[in-house]
Amino acid sequence: MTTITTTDVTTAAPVATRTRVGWGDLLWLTWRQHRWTILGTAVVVVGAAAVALGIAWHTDATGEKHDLLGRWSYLDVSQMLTLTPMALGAVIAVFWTAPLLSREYEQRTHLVVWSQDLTPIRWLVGKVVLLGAITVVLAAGLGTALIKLMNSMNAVTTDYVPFRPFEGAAFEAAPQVQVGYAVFGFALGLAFSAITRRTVLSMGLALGGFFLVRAFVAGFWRPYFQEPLRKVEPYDESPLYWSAGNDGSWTVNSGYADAAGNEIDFPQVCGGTQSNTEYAKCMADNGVQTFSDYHPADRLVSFQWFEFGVFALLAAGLFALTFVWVRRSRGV
Amino acid sequence: MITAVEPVDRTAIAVRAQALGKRYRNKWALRECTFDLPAGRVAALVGANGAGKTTLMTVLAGLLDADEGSAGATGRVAFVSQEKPVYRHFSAADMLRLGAHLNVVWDEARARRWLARFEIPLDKACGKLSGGQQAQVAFALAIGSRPSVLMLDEPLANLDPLARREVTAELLSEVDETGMTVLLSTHVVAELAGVADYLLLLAHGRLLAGGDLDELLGRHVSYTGPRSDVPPALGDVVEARHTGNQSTFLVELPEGQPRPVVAGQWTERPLTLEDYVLAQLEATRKGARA
Repeated sequence: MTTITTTDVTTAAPVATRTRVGWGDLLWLTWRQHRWTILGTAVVVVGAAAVALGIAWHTDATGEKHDLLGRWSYLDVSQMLTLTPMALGAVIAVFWTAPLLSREYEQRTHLVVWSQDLTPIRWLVGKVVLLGAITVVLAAGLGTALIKLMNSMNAVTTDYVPFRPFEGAAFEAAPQVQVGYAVFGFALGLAFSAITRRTVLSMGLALGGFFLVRAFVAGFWRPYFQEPLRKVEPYDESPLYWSAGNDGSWTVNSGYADAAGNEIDFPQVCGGTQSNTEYAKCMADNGVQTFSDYHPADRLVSFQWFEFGVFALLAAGLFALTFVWVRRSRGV
Repeated sequence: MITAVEPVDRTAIAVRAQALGKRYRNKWALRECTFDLPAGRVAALVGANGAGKTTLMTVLAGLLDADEGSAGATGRVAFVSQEKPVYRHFSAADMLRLGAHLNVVWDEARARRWLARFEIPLDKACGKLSGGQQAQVAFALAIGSRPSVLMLDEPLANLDPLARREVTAELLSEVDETGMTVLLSTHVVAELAGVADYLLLLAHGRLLAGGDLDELLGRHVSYTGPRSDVPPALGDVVEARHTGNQSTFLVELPEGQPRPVVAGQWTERPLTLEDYVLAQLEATRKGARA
């Protein structure tokens, strides 16, 4: 038998014994494994939020939009910044959680980490809670900063409202909505990661799935979170259309209605009229009015919480699925 | 140096399996597996490829649930899988930090000593180490966690011949110092001579034989002599081979009886581990074992 040639080990710490693996230990592991992903995302998010707050502060202080380099104003910069909240949830899904389990399975390191003194579920809870907390903070912070920026821009723009509260960018930047998207993205990526056990595949599925669900909810469901109110008015030739929505309401549908307010097709008889005045008269003679289905401005916050609720529930379902899946399939 | 030798009860059971079965879809990878591995032993889990060694180990290590029966190990189990996985972006020192953070017992000195023994650089990313070096990092992590039972799946597979000898020697000295139980799987039987003192022989998901190695080998004997249909002594014939005018029998002697003395043209030869394992495996392949 070979004799052991030890290096100096007398200075090393003695055998350490304790009762359980704590949160600090999981924090160490999570940070050590994901620090570059966390830092990369945080730099972009914190940077965008800082620029947004800076512009908002300067705009508030001076009361104008400031031309930059002749062609650009703060408003253009703001419009670009409002794209960042759209991407955050997808970044979390694709780069944070889609590789989280699959990379461990692919490199077989799940066998290493799960054969230490902690169960797969405890490991997963640790990662979800720690990374999830950072996700929520980033999303809420970015949303808050951008809402502040949009309010400042709206305040200094007199001729129109650049960021209408019910429109995509403003509606979705609200902190609670942002948190909903980010948590949903987190859970979606994680679920694909656990089920496919393939990094690239789960990244692709997470990206596609995230935008598909977002588009479906925004396009088909959000307008009917609540029954819209209907407003029926006689046809008016003045182009009021452009100012619609400046009161903060959201028109989801509009068209022609009969005297009783029922929706009707475009009145063909008035199709041949030569001028606006004639057209309006024709409409009035035939008893044709216009209607619009809209959500009043005071519904905004409840709609945003509803949107949050939809995505939070989806996320909860996906988390449950992931935990059951990991617990059932166990290690190998 | 710390040598906190825990008292080892030689009669205690370290690993127990009872009627253990594991199924992948409809195919049973493991069936009716029953054994008790006494504490403080170095057990070899031997079998052909696909015999169910990895499945058995992962079930015993608690990484996979059994479909029938039960399995358990006393105390803490450390498991090093066949691929000897390590985090590629972690340095060896980081892997030890992982061990210190994720284990309730951690012996940094022991883990570092293992790495120093095999001259593994501490600050280099594991992804840049050779396969053999990565294996040493995986072993150091397992050793440092001071398990009661250490399970190694094909531990020698990607090591060079010299490293194989050194690893087994180091393992034995760790066993001497700590009193842990080791279960290692392999399909290269020759390398286990002088290492293992307990044998678990698997074939087609079933346990063919299990027990103290000396006892198993002592109960068997190989006879060579003139061509014959029966061996010169009483016992179960495990293997019979006939070439020309010569016959060789591998016989399992009846228990509790003195060893028979054969004379005349018959010569008797004690069995090596390899002889025994190969004969057993061959017998199952032929389906000769009733």
